[in-house]
Amino acid sequence: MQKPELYHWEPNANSGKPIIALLEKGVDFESRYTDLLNFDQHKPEYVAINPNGTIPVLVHGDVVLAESTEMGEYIDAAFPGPPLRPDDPIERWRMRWWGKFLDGYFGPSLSMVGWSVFIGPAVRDKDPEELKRNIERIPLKERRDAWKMAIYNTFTEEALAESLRRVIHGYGVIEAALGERPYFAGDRYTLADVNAFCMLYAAPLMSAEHINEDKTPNVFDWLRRVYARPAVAEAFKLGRTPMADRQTEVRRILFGENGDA
Amino acid sequence: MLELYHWEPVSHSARVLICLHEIGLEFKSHYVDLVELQQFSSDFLAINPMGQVPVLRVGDTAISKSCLINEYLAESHPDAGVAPLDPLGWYTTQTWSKYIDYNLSNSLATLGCKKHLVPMLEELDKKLLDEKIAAIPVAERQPGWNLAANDAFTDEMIENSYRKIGLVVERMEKALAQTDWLVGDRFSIADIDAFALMYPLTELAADIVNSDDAPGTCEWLARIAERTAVKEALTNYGRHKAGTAFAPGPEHSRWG
Repeated sequence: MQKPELYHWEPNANSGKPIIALLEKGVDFESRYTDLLNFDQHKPEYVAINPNGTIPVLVHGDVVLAESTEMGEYIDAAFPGPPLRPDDPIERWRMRWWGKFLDGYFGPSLSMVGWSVFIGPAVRDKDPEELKRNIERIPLKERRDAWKMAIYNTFTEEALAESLRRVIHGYGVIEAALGERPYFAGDRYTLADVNAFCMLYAAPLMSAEHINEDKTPNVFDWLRRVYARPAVAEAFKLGRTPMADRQTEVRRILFGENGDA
Repeated sequence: MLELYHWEPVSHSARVLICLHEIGLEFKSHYVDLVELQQFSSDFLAINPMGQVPVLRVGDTAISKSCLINEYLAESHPDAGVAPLDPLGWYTTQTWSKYIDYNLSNSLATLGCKKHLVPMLEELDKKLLDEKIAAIPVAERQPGWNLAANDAFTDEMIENSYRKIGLVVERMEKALAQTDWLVGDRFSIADIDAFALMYPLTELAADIVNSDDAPGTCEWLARIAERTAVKEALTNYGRHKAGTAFAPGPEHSRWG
């Protein structure tokens, strides 16, 4: 069988999840960088692979997968390598519960805030006609609405405030949970940690007011454990924008001046 | 023994009730009256801080999120034959549940509440109800209850609900044109998770879910409805006719 191919953007949020999972398993895969800021994911050749026009996509033989959290379970089950899911059924449930919490509650709010400060400003200067054409060909209505908000900066104060409230509430839930056990699902690193890391890795830098050594010592200890993993360091090498560079600064915050784990 | 905290046998509570019956597990039933807002009582929030049913108590642990409870039950009882069979089967099952939750749980709740919950709440003392809603400690749950208490559902919400139901049914018709069941060639938790939210749509969204426009979906619904476990789950646990009681569900997506 051909090497699995992963279409991904920067090694964070949704793209980061399968990148790290594949690297943790030691799977030899073809990396297909897909430039979100250039709207590569809405181009006909990409939509032919994933009709929803979302990133990432994993192509494994005849199998085409486009949901990043569930993709993680597939990667763990379909490829050899160290397990990324607990055997204990309750811990496995807990791993999946975090998937739902991160994807359904925390992630969308964090994403809205992130897009308002990063994605929106990064694309707003492009030709307005081209932006309009790009918006029109976005397959999913919810995605189209999100892009419009980012491009035309129509986030309301109220929506951003509510998102920020949820993010801060989420930080509290996460800090409390990591006080009970060293990793999200239990004693071992699992897909829940991969997913959470992809959303939290830059928090000491971007949300320093809320995520810091004093207020969230458990999150900091957990971040140190995850940053120390070789697969995580490998994953950041696939980044091409200044987003991935943030990890260098976070390492300094976590580990001191030379940033070595 | 397992203990299940649930409401009416519809939507997320129905998922777990059906799954427990399909596997044939004994459990103690705790009815949590959502219209009375019991899910936000301090007793219940101690069990699930999100203030949501269903919750399954397994020993010392209370596990929540209906599709995850069913994944837990299916995986812990492989002989029952309701678990997906391979990695792709699991992926397909989990993404079906996610798709249904994303598009249907809010749409079903909007249409169901508009038709069934609004008249139920109109019977109550409005001032007392407003006070109870204002006291809901889970902030993001208040708007849904306010919508129902004031019958404030907008045309846009209703249209968006029908649109999303249309998307789900279109995808179901495609899937069910190939096989009798959503994943693989056997009945599984994927069917249970979808059925629990789909079955009320033959009444709530009859313009979409009818045997002329959605024959595959309607036959699939009928195949599942005649299963003994499903009949037991839908008739033995509610205080209303199955599919006629709804509570505000998750909000429509704020950020897609």
